[in-house]
Amino acid sequence: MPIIQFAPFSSLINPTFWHTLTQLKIDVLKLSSDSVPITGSYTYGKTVVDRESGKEIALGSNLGLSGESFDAAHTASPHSVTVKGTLKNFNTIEEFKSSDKAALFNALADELWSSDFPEDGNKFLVLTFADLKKYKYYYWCAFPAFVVKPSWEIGEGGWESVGSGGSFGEEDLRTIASREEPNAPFFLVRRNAGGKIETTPLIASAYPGFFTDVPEKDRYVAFIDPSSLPQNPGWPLRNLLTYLVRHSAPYTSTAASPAATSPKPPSFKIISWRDTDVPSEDGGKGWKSLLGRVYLPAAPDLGKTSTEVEKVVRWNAIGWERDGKGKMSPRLADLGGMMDPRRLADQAVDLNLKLMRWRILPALDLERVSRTKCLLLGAGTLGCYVARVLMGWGIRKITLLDSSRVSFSNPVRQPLFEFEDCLEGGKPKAECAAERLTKIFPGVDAQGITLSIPMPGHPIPANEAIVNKTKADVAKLEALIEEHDVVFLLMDSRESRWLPTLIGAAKNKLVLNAALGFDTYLVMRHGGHTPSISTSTSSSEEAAGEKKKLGCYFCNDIVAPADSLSDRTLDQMCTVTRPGLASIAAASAVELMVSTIQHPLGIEAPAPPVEIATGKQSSLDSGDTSHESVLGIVPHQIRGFLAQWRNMIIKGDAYSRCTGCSDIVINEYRSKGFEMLLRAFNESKYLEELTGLDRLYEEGEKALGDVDWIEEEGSGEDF
Amino acid sequence: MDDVGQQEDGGDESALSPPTVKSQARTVTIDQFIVYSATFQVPTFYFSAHQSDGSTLGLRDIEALRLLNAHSRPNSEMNSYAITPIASPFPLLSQGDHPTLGTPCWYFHPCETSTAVQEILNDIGEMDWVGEDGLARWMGAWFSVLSSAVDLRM
Repeated sequence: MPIIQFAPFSSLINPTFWHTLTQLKIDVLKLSSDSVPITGSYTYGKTVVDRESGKEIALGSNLGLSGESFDAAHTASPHSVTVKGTLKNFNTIEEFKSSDKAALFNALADELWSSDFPEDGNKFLVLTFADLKKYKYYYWCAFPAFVVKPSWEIGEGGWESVGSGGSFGEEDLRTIASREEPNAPFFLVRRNAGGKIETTPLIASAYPGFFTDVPEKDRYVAFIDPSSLPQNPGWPLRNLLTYLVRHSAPYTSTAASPAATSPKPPSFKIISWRDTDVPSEDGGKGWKSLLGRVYLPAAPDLGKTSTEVEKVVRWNAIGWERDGKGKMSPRLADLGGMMDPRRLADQAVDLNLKLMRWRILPALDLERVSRTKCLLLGAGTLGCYVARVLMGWGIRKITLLDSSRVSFSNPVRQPLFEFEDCLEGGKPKAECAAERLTKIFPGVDAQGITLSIPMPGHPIPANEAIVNKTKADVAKLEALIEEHDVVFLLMDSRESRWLPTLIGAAKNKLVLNAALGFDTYLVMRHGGHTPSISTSTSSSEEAAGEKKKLGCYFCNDIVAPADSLSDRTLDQMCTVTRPGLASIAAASAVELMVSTIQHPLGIEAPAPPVEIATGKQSSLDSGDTSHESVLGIVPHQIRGFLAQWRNMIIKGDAYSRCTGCSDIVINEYRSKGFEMLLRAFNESKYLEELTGLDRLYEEGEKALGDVDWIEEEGSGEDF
Repeated sequence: MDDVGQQEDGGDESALSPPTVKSQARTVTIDQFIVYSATFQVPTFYFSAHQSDGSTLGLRDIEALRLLNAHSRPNSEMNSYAITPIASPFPLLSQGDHPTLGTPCWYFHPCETSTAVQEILNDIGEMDWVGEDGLARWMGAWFSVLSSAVDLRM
């Protein structure tokens, strides 16, 4: 008949177990690795029905450990068995690894062997090491069970339901279910002379006395079974059987050496008790408990007997728990998620954003936003506010670039800086801002780079060293733009925006531009340059309705960017603005970026139609929402006028002669690289000549000259 | 990490081998509590989820459990109370310590509970329910509000 395969225990640990152990170590144990008595518990095996497949799934045969395991006074919950155990906590991982586990295990096994109490058969051992800095807990549980040869087998018919086998009637089962001490792990059941079922908990000396004068067919030994598998009884049965064998004649320790006689191999009727309540179904079908005949096919091999004392040397024991992969190895519980403050912060920020999606806007793609890498050119008023709002959206990679140092007027308007940062000449703005971002939220990857962006109209001195430095700076800027997804132009001059505009257009990166006047601002996104969408330059194509590309900051210029910084008055140099303006513009720039990213076409998102932009029509009326993202319309440009508390939504087409983003300049840049840029920086007419802007003036003058102005006398009432 | 003595694990034919035991899905234990909020004077739903090694589940794992109906319930979906669609949004999921046990939990902030339950009672047409019967009905409505956010498997 088949060999019984017992279902081993699996540890099921509650987080409170680790919390209590931590407290215990800090307050009591400190560096001691003395054994600590603890308790564990197990309950009746359960199954659940898988909602998708409809199949019954057996839940593990669990030994539960929790914070209450350390509380000697804790009482067991109903329908659960409390078991005693020992915990040994090591102070270092090396001690944990090198500890003599065999010795510890054997010591426990010896204790079990020599105990007269059957419930001691459930005793267990837990070895731990708590890494309190990393919130990691290494542990290894052992549930010793004695091994016997030959192995236990199950009788014909296997395990059958107690309700259907014919051994028990409904009343019998109810008697068992309502026994006193329902939490005793093992109990004996007999049918008395009058045919009634009687039970008693299996405690020392109850066996075999309880069965005196009871015929063998009416004797049953029962145990609360943590396993719910139909053919595999739980681990506690192994040591129960060992106990029964050792206390049954002729195997009792006081008997003469078994080899002297030919005893009958042990056989028991075992009830695997799995019912917490009387089941509701009638006819005996609802009972989950099982009955089976468990026996050894031959007399057990009791090993060597000591010649001095007729006492049997104990059997071998096994029972270390396997790890998650089935290997004979300890386990690791990582509690960083609930204890490491950085991970808690990360999780809280994440939750906050997810709630936005769950509560209000399920279609919001937060992942897309948070993995956008942002490069901020300028770490001043605009830069600081932009960085803050980006972090609010959960963006993790923020790089700031600036060429100056924190000065005394900065901290009040630039929220990433403090008074201390201004001292001793002032910290470099970019690095200082990045550091401050990390202090606000450690989960952000913030970098600061001090770099000066070369500009047209500011010639590079003909010194070789300086030219090389400029070339390196340009290369660095190109690399930075390449590495990021979005570039914010937040500088304090017009011409410094030229180079990143060109590079951004050449690399088709989303460029957000924000500029401040005294009480007006501009926030815009540069048009995309996705290769599959070509620019149309002739007006006839425009009339045919082909989609035009959106322009950049320089598209409306009729002159190239020039030196606007020299010879300015103080207020022009310091870009004096109304203080509230920067945060409005910066926040708008970030929200425009997010809205653009949410649009399915991204950088190529169209500007809203004029009627909608000017508020004459709502998009619900027009029925066409293809220009909208889930967050609403995606303007090209927003111009704000604080004095009138008004915004204007504007669209500007790309200009074929633009010095910043036209195909002419992009192609020249791509083919000539730094050489072309150097000319742009040094030669004031270069860009105008390249794009043909210089001829525009001439053409304009010529066109004006061609018109025949009709000059009439008189009142001109005819028209 | 070896040498644990008499561990001829390969040789023990009486132990159910790990692959069979392991084929059961990963076990996650979810403790659910109903706690009375003295401030808002309504029941509040708290829960915590942990794995068999005692580590708690983070937000992403909890989403993966599909315990929370966050994704499947856009605001305009009709429910079994067909009179009006559920107007209440997904409740404000927060983190905090269990008021009595002190253990870290997730909970739904109770500030909107009263309103949400009242909406349902209004939909049903609140009759003259008084006393215990009234309270039981209130709790019934509370559970249905809760089940719009959490898969209670009841």
